[in-house]
Parts: sequence; structure tokens; C-alpha cells
Amino acid sequence: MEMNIAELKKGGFLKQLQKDYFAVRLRVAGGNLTLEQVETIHQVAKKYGKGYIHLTTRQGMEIPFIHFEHIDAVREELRAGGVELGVCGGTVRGVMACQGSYMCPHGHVDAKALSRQIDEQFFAAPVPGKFKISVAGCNRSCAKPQENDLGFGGVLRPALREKDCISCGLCADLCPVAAITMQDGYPLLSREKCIACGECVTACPSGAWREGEAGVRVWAGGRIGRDPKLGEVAISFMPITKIPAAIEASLAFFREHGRSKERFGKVIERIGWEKYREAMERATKKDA
Amino acid sequence: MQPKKMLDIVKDSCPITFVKTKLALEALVTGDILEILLSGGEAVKNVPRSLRAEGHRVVALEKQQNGTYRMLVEKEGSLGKDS
Repeated sequence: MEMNIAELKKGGFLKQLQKDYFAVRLRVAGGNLTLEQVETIHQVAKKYGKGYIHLTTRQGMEIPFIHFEHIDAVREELRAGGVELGVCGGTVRGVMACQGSYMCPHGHVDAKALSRQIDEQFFAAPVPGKFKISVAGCNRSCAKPQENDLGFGGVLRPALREKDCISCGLCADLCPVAAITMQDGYPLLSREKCIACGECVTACPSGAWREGEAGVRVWAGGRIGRDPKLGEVAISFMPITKIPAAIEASLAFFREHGRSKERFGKVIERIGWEKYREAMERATKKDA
Repeated sequence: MQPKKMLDIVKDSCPITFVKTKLALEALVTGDILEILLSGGEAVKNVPRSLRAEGHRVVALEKQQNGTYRMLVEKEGSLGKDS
């Protein structure tokens, strides 16, 4: 049997140290699998694997010890049960997410839903090097957006409805950047100091602080690897509807300037943050 | 506005703070006021907003000299909710 290792790798089969064996990477978006998918993975791993599953560091899953003779059967049986294969190499990888506003009290955006949309649109898109995306519901960053080539984190611009305010001052006490001061019994917000973390809206006992506008902060260039670096803020506030445009612009920048296997952050550093930020600005300011 | 009952959860941590508050409110009737003493930090960040989310009305919240908070909650109060 002919084996094209590069082709297999691109399709989610990772060569193991053990001769003729591969670990099969699965496609997972936002760290969620349905019970039907779990059942399928269980069955396939039981039939062809070695009795266990490997959880990856990015909410992914791999079935180790698949013999190369079973590769086609594994692919087909997984697919029939609603499970797609993951990817390796120069591609957009599985998209990570925290629980987000769907169930976390701190979430400002639905990170899981956004990760699914991003996965649908961009999963496996070819680029010069690996490209990892993560979505966090707020800037507590549980989904580590700053460790990814491109990361999004929910942010919230607060708005005050004075008539509901009970003048407790909790918002002023809790604001992490002291952007709120109490003036004549009511909170006064400094828009300049505000980092749109939304803590005031989350904590307000009377609902006087409410959502003004929800959006995302965009970080770019984050990576771990041999030369770890946290991503830098590329856009501090952007409506969630602009996420696809921001990804498109980043992938286009990567394809235009990136060398084979280069990480996105390295490309930005080489070409210049200014140029990248300009490209992002252009792409996300356009009317959608 | 006379509190019907007083609850001290200063020494408790989340989510016990919320559970104790919920149980105390269950023993009251609609419109009753519960007085709660709670600590700063996580408790004051979470308990008041959780009560509001459950449909109660936080009538007052004041920081005490010693850094703890005193809160008055009206059981299933009709004001202050989303409208």
C-alpha cells in the first residue's frame, strides 16, 4: 500500500513513533461534541484504536493507534456518525471557545456560537503556517485568545439608566481601572479610562448599568511554540458582525507575506504591525 | 422598610453565599425585606446580581466601615427589573 505521509497529515492523520500507526485528529469546534459524536468516536476507537482517547491542548480530540490499513474505514465510519477529521500543517485549525454568554454569567458574547460560525466558514482554509483561532466570552480570557494567532474576546460598552440606580456605588468599587466615580449619588463613567470589560454591567444589583454595545476585542500574533509570545491588540472594539472580515483580512495578510511554516505573529513582526493594523482597519471599517 | 429577617454570610464563600440567601428568601413572602451582611470581593460581585436575576429587588446596598456590605433585598420586588 502506498502511503503519502504529507497528504495523510493534512487530512488529520499524525504519524506515530510506532511503525504503521497514526493518531487520528478530529474536528471539534468550540470544545463541544454531541452525544451522538461521542458515541461514534467511542465505537471507532474501540474497534480500531487502543482503548483510549487523547484530549489535545486546544479542546480537540485524537484517536491514537490507528493502523494505516484502517485509515479509510476509520474516516468513513467517523463521517457516517457525524464526526469529521481534523487538520494539521498550514491550515486554519479547530476553533476554541469558552462557555460564553450562553451559560457563563460573565460572558458578553456567545463564544460557542461564534466559534461554530468561524469553524464553518474558515476551518481547514490553507495558509502558509498553522493558524489558530480562539473566542472568549469576556476579557477574563478563559479561552486564551492571546495565545492564538487570532483571538477574539467579548467586550461591553456600558450604558446607564439613571432611574434604576440605587446609588450603592458598587460599580465604582469594582471597576478594575477606576473609570467610575460617584458624583452626586450617581456613577460617572470616564469613556477614556473604560476598558469595556463589562464588570459594572455584570455586577450592578439594580440593572441600572446595562449593555450599551457588545463587541469583541481582537488580538493577533499570539503563539506558544519555541518562541512564545502573547498576541497584541489589533482592534480594541469591533462589532461581532465584523469577525469574518477580520479573519479574511488576517488570512490574506498571512498568504501575501508569510513564508512556509512561519507563524502569523512572526509575519506581522517582519512586515510591521502598522501595515497589519491598516489592513485590519480597512477590512473591518467597511459597511457590511 | 423594616427587614423581616437578617442573614450574615460574611464568612461564607460562593456558591454557599447564594444558596443560603436563596433559602432565607424562600422562607419569606413576596414583598418581605431580607437584610444580608456580606463580604466584599466575590460575594458582593455575585450575590446581588444573582438575586436580581432570580427576580428579587435589591433595594439598598451600602459599604460598611469594615469593608463588608449591608444589603436589603425585597422578595420578588417588582421594580428595578428589565423593562
